[in-house]
Amino acid sequence: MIEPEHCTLIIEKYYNEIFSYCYAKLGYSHHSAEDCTQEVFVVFFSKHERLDETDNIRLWLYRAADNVIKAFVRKAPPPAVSLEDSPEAMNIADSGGFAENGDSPLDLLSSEERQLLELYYNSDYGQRNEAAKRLGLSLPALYRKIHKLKKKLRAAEK
Amino acid sequence: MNKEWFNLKDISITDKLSDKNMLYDLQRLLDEELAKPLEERDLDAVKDITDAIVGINDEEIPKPVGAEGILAEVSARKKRGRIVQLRRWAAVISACFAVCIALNFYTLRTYGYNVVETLIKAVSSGFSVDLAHFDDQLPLSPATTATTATTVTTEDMQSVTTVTVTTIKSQSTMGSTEAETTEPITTTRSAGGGTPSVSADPLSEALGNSAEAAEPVVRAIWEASSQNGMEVCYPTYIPLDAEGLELTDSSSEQLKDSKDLYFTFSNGEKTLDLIIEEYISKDLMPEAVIPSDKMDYYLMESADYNGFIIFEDESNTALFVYGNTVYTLHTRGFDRSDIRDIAENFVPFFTGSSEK
Repeated sequence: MIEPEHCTLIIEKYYNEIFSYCYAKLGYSHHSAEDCTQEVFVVFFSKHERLDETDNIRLWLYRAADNVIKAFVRKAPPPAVSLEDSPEAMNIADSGGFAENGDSPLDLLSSEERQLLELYYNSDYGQRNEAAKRLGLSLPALYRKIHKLKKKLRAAEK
Repeated sequence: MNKEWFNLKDISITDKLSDKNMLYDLQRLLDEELAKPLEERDLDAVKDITDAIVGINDEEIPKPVGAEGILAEVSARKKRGRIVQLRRWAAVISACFAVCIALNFYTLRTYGYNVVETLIKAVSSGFSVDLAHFDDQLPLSPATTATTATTVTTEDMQSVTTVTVTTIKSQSTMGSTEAETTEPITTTRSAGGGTPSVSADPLSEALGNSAEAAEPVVRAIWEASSQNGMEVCYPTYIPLDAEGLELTDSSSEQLKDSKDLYFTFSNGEKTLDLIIEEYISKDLMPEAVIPSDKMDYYLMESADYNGFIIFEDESNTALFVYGNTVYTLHTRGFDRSDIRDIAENFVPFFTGSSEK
């Protein structure tokens, strides 16, 4: 039997990662991702005795997540989600424009942040990829930064 | 104000395609990574991408469920596996059965052609039972004295399977020895399935109603059900040659849809497992799958509840539904007639209500 402490450590280490994975593979459905993530850990702890200590727990969890997601989708296929139709995906983008008043919130940004925004808007996918590499970032990391900057601007506008 | 900055500001805020484009790019990256065999995937990259997808959607990752909750569910599943029962997770399992050859069962004249067919289906590895509708669609039987035995042969493209279906009408059809052993039971129950008088001490009354060999079983069920606030039934009959049964394992689980009790009794030669699942509602009862190598079952007929028994060489399984509660009885080392007599003689602990 697993000690609850051991169980807690594994959950704490991998829960967010597996949730994000399920979320990305389940059409950005929060609840479906949550259900599947919990199921992944139940399956893992049901079968952990068969695992060797040297086994890659992380890899095992991803494999379990693939299987759980397949079963979940088979049981209740998620509606086909188009990003354009997904309110969850579009909430931020639809959150409004920028009023024409007074000082620019861009003043809040550092020169480095402004350069990031410029880089993003003045380049295509391939160029962004290259630019991210030059900056020592992955493309997802660059996008996260851009998203944060946009949120910062919106917050300043309000 | 710098015009260039102003334009950038406008674009960055009002460009509704921006987030969508980022998500599109990320999904493309993820698909590229997932196209690789699992062992070759860069899990750090996968994490990076999926974290970004969550972040751009402004999702808050929920707090993980506690270790205790997960371990409790793991424990519950293991106990279910102990008697080779697959419940609740039937949706996953049902996919496996898609490739199995489904056999249509012919039902008994008593009930008409289509009734049982909708409730019990034979699959290649056992029986699948729709518990939620089991009790509704099978009429409770009046006491009768006839015995019907039917043998049906079904044939499909690949194999021929013989299905033996036998109904047990009442204990009056038993041999003299069986009738003698069940006497304590029949004297405690009214002919039409009515309830005996209410006792101030349900356990004492239950023990008084039961065969001596049933005492440890009755006590264990009473104790566990009382502790868990459950109103359940107990077996009034355990055969004399199973005397000395002791409780070797028991546990209870509070699940989302039900409260479950698990018991194992053994006297060294005979073992009896009992699972009691009290559901919040009948609608929540899952489809049950009971693995069986044979296609041999008895349909129980009782004035109080419906159920059936599946026979194997070494062990037998009885499954019946009483109100919102599912009882699964699994015996090893018992005769066929024993499990039938045990399963057919469950009665509720009387707590002042005679309602099911």
